[in-house]
This record gives sequence, structure tokens and C-alpha cells, in this order.
Amino acid sequence: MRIKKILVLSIVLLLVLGFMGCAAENTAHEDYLEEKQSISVYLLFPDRLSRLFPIDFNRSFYSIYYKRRVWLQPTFFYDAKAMYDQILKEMYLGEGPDLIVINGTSSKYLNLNKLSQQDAFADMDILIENSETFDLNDYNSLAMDTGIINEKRIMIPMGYNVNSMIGLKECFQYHDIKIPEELTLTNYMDLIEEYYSKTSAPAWLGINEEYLLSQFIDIGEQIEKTDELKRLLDILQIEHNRKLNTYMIDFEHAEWPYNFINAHDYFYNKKLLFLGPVGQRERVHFRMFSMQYNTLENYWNRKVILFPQPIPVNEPTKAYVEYGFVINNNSKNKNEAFSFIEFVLSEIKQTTGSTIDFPVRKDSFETRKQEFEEGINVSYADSLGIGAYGIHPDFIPNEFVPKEIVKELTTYVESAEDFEYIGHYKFIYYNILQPSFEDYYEDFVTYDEMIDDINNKLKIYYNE
Amino acid sequence: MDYKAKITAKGYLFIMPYLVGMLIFYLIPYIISIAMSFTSGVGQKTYVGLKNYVSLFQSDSFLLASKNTLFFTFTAIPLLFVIALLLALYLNDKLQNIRIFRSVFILPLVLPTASVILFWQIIFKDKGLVNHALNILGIDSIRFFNSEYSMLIIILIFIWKYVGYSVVLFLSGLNSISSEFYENAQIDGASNWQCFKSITLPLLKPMSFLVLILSFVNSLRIFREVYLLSGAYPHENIYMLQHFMSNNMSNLNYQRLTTASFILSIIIVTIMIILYRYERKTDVV
Repeated sequence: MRIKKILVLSIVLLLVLGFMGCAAENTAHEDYLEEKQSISVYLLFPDRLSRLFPIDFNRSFYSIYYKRRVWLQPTFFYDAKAMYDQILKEMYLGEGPDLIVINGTSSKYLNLNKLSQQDAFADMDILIENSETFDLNDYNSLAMDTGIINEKRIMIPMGYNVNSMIGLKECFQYHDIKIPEELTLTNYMDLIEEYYSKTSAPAWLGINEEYLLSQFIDIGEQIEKTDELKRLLDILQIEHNRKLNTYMIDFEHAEWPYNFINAHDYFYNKKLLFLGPVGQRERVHFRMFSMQYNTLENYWNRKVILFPQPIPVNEPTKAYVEYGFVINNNSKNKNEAFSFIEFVLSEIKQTTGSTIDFPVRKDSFETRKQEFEEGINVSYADSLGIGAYGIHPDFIPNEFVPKEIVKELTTYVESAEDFEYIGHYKFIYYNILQPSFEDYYEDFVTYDEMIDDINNKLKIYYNE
Repeated sequence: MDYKAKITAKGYLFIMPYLVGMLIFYLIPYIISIAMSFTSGVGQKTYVGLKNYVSLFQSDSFLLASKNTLFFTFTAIPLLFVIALLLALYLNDKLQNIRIFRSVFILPLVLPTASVILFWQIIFKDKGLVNHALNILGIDSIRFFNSEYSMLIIILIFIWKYVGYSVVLFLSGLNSISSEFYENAQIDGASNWQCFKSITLPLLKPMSFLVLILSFVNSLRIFREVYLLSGAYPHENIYMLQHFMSNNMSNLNYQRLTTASFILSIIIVTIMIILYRYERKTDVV
């Protein structure tokens, strides 16, 4: 009995000491997390930013500038609108997250142009000056300058990209359509119309029409009525009316990811002339698609051709910046937040971090390009924009690595002279332009009426 | 404390919850927003004087929104008033004892706005019932929500929503007029028009004033319907002050928003003062 009592007391004592030890450890951990060593960020769950961190998700990074670990404190949201509403409310109250991620989703909700007029974001040039290690000359200046909005550098881009599409040689041959040597906007539209006249079906799926249309709209200006724009809109109208086609209904109503598998199915069965641009999600579908078709030979022997996004003749090659960071001007940890940007834009992260964009860092771009050409690591194909081609690196045997394709895309990217932050246009597109375009596609208005309507709305928007 | 003071103190005690709520949720925020209209920036604000007011009146969007809002207010409210009064006069005799109809008139007010908008879209959208009928008659479709007709539709929605409520108010006002007045007038040989002009209208004045005030307040709330129909950037004919303010809120330009709302509040107060003064002057004892 006495031994039993001693045993029970010992166990209880051990438990108590154990809890105290944990608490002590937690306290020590909490003491380490001093306020100035942590930066807050709001993210949508799941977010690919988490791939920049160690697998154990410590969510810390080594700050080159501070020469110590800095902790990232993400808050996850499941709804984009709710997240951006929260960000805006908190920013107005003088709070908000230290770091704000700019991406395709944020473009619809955060109007960087107008927010920058309210001094909502920190001046990056000041933070760059404060940093002893960050040098703007290490980065693609054209890409970096897209972060200058209203004469103030408020955004640092993570990467940039060019839009591209893939075509199937077999499909061109099957429909007796000549494969163009160079794809301009004009001959692209010729091809679409030719395909449509032969098949009565839309020629492509997945091209983001806002990228095509953005070439006709200068931010801050009104839209000009041009024959080329009208022609493009008429072609997009065919795409818009694709619901009338039976097999497109499968695409429209199928659930993810089967809708994309269907799209690839149509493409490889010569029912589509073009497919793309494809991004990260589509790479997952390609993997599933490849499983479905079982063999890569079936895949590669179809001789897929890469086409860069068609642009008007005599226009400079265009590259797009869509992803980046801004720092909340209310933040008390601006330098720490900037140290995170330094981390993301460091050589190692830009070279090895998996992203669908090309790295803004010059040496990383060259390193990855060279390594890929030497076939050192196929997974870099992803980071070199091979994602635009739509093939998951895991399924590319070395002997089938389409080096010619990657070279072509890389050459195209290197020749890009006109860099644009697509977010400005996307905000206007989704909030103002899209309803008017849809009215035109549905034949409710003429081309002239639609342009007048858009210009009236743009005038209101610019004068607000 | 004497008796009168006690009663006064009791009175204040009873209305204290209302006063405190009024202070916290209306007066203090109002004063803060006025102060905000003299600043600029997010988070840390800087004093800029009257710069916001000057730039506001230089903004074409603000001027357009003001014009549309005033046009809507001074068109829709008189129309609503006349239609509601005529309906009330017509229904006064027929529905005197049928109370259920009064509930029916209130229905548009209690229906959710989103459901109401869905209903109007079915009727007036580009492939809606009206356009379908027009097409059968060989007439081209009309873009009711995105053309010069859009203001007409908004006025129609406003009248449909609030006419029932105004009719109920007028009916209660008409019921409060003693029938002796009409009997005496008929004995004296007065016509229906003379009865209406000399008896009904003057005695209906308090209720008419209430209908006017409520209609005016409700006219400023039409933004919900317009926003659900046409989004943040509707046709220029129905771009209202509330659109201007809402869009500036999305851009964190709260200073511009508060400046516009302060100007709007001045206009509202001015109109209310004019109405109250007119009502007192012409009050029938």
C-alpha cells in the first residue's frame, strides 16, 4: 500500500514537472519571439508561399540583413473577399498585416493604383536604401520598375512571365491549316477564323482573354475603336458562345479537375487548335491526364508546338508581372518585412524556389537556364516557365525534354521589352469592362455602343 | 428636488438609452467624419484644410452622381406621392373593412432586396419578359438596365417598393378625416373636386408630410437595388452618390467619402428644414 502511494505520487510529480518544463520551454520560445522579429501576413489557404519555407513549417527565414531568424506569422483565410476586406479595414484603422501578397486574386480586390494615392504602402526605395545587402542592379530592371506606381516604388515583383499557348501539329495537319512560323495577333486571328470556318467550333480553350484585350487598353486612357479590337472581340464572341457546342458543355459543367482533363482530351483529339496558357493547377491535371493516357510517347510524339502570346505587329514583346509584395505603410516592422522580400529574392530562393514565373534575379535566371540546357535538373523546367508548356516535370524523361521549346520560350522572354503589372488591368477588367464585353458577346449592343459604354464607365472610374 | 425637476429627471432617465445610443452611433461618428474630411492619408492622417472639398467639386464623377441623385429624388418622390394618394383615394371606400389588403401593401417592403431584384431582372433583363414581348411585336430589345431607360426602371422599382406603404399611411390619414366634413360640404353643394381640394388635402397634410419625409429617406436607400442590378459601375444615368462613396471606400479614400457624405447631409438637413417650416406655416388647426 505504501509502495503504491509512493508510485502514484512519483507519477504525479513527474507529470507536473513535465508540464512545467513544457511551459518553461514555451515561455522561452515566446520570449524569443520578440515583436520586432516577427512579421504578419494574410494568406489564402492553401498558399504556395508556404513552399518557400522548411517542410516543418517553422515559417521562419534567415534574414541576411538582420543576420538572424525572422518569424513569419501568417493568418490563413478561406475566402478571398473576406481576406481583402479585412486587410482594407485594418489598414484604414492604422493596422493591418505587415506584408501583403500581390497575386492574380488580389488584383480583383486591391486597386494598387488608387490605394497608392492614399499612401497605403511603404516606399520600397527607402527600404532598399536602408538595406545593406539588397541591390536593385542584381534584378531585371524592367520587371522591377513595374512596381513603380504613381511615381513611387511600392511593389517588389517575385517573378515575371510571358503568356503562351500550345498547339498540336497533328491538328494543324488534320485540318489542313498551315503552321505559322511567327504568331502575330493578326495571323492568330486568321487561324482561329480559318479553323472555325472548317469545323464550326471554337479553336482554343483557356486563353485568358484579359491578356489579349489588355493590349488595346492603356491604363488611365480611354479605349480606341479599332478594327483589330473589333475583330478580336468577334472571335472571343465565338468562345463565349461555345456553350452551344455539346463537347464544350462537358468543360463548362464538369467539376475540377475533370473539366481540365476534358479540355486536354479535346486538345489531343484534335478538337482544339490551341490550349493555354496553363499554370500550376493545370500541371496537376496534366499529370492526371498523362496517367489516363498511360504513355508519354503518346504525349510527346504528338509534337506539341509552343506559341508565345500573339501580339500586334510592330509591338514590343510583352512580359507580365503578376506576383509580388507590398508593405503596409502602417507597419511598425517595415525593415523586417523587407528582409522577407530579400529572402524571397535571394539567389538561392530565386534559383531553386518552384514558381511558374521566371526569376527577377538576373543570375538566377542565367543559372537555371544553363542548368536546364545541360539537363542537370529537370524540375527546374518548372521554374523556367515550362509550366507554361503545361507538362509536369515529373513526367518528362530526359530524352524527351523539349529543349527547343524551352529555348524558344526563354528567347522570347529575354527579348521582352514591355513589362506590365497586369494587376491594374485586371482590376478594371473584372470590375468595369467584363459586363460590357459580355453584353457585346450576347449581341445586346453594337461594337460602337459597347466602346462608348466602357469609355463612360472608365471616365467615372478615373474621376472618382 | 421639487416635483417638476423630479419629473424632468425621470423623463431624461427614460430617454437616456436612446440619447446614449444616438450619441455613440450617430453624433460622435458624425463629428469624427467631419473632422476626417479635412485630412488625407491612411493610418497616419495629415491635415489638408479644404483641399478635399475643392477636389470633390472638381470631380466629374461626383458632379454626375449628384445630378443623378437629385434627379431621382425630385422625380421619384412626387410620382410616388401622387400615385399613392390616388390609390389611397380609390381604395378608401372599397377596402375600408378589408384589413388584409393593408398587409399586402406592406409586402414589398419586407421582401428581401435580393429576391426583389431577381424578380425585376426576370422582367426587364436583356432576355427578360418585356424584351421577349417586344421581340414578338417586332421591336428590338431594349437594355433597360444599361441605357437611358435605366433611370426609369429604378424609379419604377422605387415606386413599386414604397407605394404600398405610402398608401397605407394615406389610408389611415383619410380614415381620420371625419365624414361630417364631407356631408356638410355636399349639403352646401360642393363638387368632388372641391371636397378634395378644400377638405381632403388640407386635413391630409400631416400624413402627406410624413409620407414625403419617409419617401425622401427611402429614396437615398435605392442604392441597394441599383448596386445589385448593375454593380459598382452602372450606366452613367444611374450612377448615384452612394456609388461614388462606396467606390471610394473600397479604395480607402475615406476622406473623399466623408466629404461627400457631409455635403449630402447638409442638403438633406436643408430640405428637411424647408419641409418642416412649410408644414408649420400651413398647419391646419
